[in-house]
Amino acid sequence: MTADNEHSLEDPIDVMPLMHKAFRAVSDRTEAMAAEAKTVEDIAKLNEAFGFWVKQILYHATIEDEVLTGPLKNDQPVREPVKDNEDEHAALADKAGELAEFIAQGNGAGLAESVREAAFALEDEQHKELEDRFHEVEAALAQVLGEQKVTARTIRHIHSRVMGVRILELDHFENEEAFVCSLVRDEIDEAGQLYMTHRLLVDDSADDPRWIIDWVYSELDEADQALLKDLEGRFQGAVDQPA
Amino acid sequence: MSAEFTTLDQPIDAMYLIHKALRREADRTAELARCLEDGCSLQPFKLAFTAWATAIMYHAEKEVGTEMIKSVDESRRSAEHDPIERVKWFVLEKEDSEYSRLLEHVMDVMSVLEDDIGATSVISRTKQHLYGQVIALRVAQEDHLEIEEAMVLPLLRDNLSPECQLEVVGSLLVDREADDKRWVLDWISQDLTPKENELLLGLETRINQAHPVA
Repeated sequence: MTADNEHSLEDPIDVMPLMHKAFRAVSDRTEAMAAEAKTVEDIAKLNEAFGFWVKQILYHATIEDEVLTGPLKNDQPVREPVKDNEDEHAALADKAGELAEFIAQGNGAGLAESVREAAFALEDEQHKELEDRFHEVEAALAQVLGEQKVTARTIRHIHSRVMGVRILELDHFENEEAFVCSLVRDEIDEAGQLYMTHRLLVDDSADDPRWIIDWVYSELDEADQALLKDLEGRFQGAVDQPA
Repeated sequence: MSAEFTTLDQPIDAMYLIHKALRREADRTAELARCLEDGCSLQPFKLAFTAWATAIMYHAEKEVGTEMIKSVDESRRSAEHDPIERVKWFVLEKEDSEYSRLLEHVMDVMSVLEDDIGATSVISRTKQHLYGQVIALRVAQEDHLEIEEAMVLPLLRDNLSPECQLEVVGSLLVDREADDKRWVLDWISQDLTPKENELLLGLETRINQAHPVA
C-alpha cells in the first residue's frame, strides 16, 4: 500500500488492501471457529459468523462490479483482469452461497451430503426409486454412527468448505491488488476513486449506512485506522462539494 | 486426545489402533501445513505428508484381496435386494474412491512443490492451497474411517474367525515384503499409549506364532 505521508493514502484505491485485511481477519476467525467446533451449538455460532462474512463479501463484490470494474470497461473490449475479477466475484459468491446453505441445514448436513453423493453413483432408475427414501438411508446410517459422529461429520465438512471459500477469497484479493487496483490507479482520477471507495465503504441505502466502514475500522490497527479516517474525510469532502 | 483402547476383544479390533495412528498423522500434517510461513522450509511438512501418504497407501493396498474385503463384498451382494442397504454400501464405496482421488491430488501438489520450490513469491498462495488440500484429505480419511468402523468392523467381528482375523491384521501390521518388516508396527506405536503398545505387542506375538516371519 502507498501512503504519501504517515496518515494519508496516496491514491484512494489504496484503501483496498485495508478492506482486504478486514476480510482476512473475519475469514481467519471463521476458519478457526470451524476448526475448533464440536457441538450443534457451535454450528449455530458458525452460521452467524459465516452469515456476516457472506453479507460483507456479497456487498463488496456487487459494488465492485458496479463502480470499480464497470468504469474500466468503457467502450473498449473487456480486458482480461477486469473479466477475471468479475468471474472471481461470481465464483466466490457461488461457493459462499453453497456453504451458507450447507450450514443452514444444521446437524445432519454432512451425512445427507454423503448419502446424496453416493446415490448419484446409482443407475438412473435406482436413483429415482430411492429419491424419496434418502432420509431412510440417512436415518439408518445415523443410527450406526451415533449423533456425535453425525455432528462431527457436518462440522468437518463445513471446515473444509470454509477453507475452500477462504482460498478463493485470498486468491481473488491477491489478483485484484496486483492487476485491477493498478488499472484503477492509472485510469480513474481522484474524484472517481473517491466515489468508488465511498460506495464500497458506506451503504447509503441501508438503515445504518456505516455498517461496512465501522466493521473495517474494527478490524484494523491504529495506524491503518488513521489512514481510513483520513480517506473518509476526503470522500465526505468530495461528496459535500457541489458538482 | 482420543480415548485409550484398553482391550482388544478380537484381533480385528487392532484396526482401531491403526486408525488412531492414521488420524494422528493427519493432524500432524495439517498442523504443519497450517503453520507454513512465507519463505520457510517445506521439509518438515513433506516428511510428515510422506509418512501419512505411505501409511494410507500401504493400508489400502493390504486391504485389497484379503478375507476382509471378501467378507465385505459378500455382505454387499446379500444387501443388493434392499435399496436402503444398497445405498449404505454405496456411501462406503464412494468415500473410498474420494479418499484415493484426494490422495492423488495432494501427491500432485507435492510434485508441483518439488518443481517450483524456488519461486518464493508463490509460496504464500501455494501454502493456502496445500493446507486446503490437506484438510480435504483429512476429511475424506475421517469419513472413510468412520464408516469403516461403523459398518465394516462389526461385520468382520461377526463373520471372521479369530484365526482369520489374525491373518487379516497380520497382513496389515507386518510388511513381509519389506527389509524392515516391523515398520508399520513402529509407525503405529509412536502414537499409542503404553497400555495400547502392550496390546499391540501381545497381538504381534500372536501373529508371529500363527504365521512365523521368515
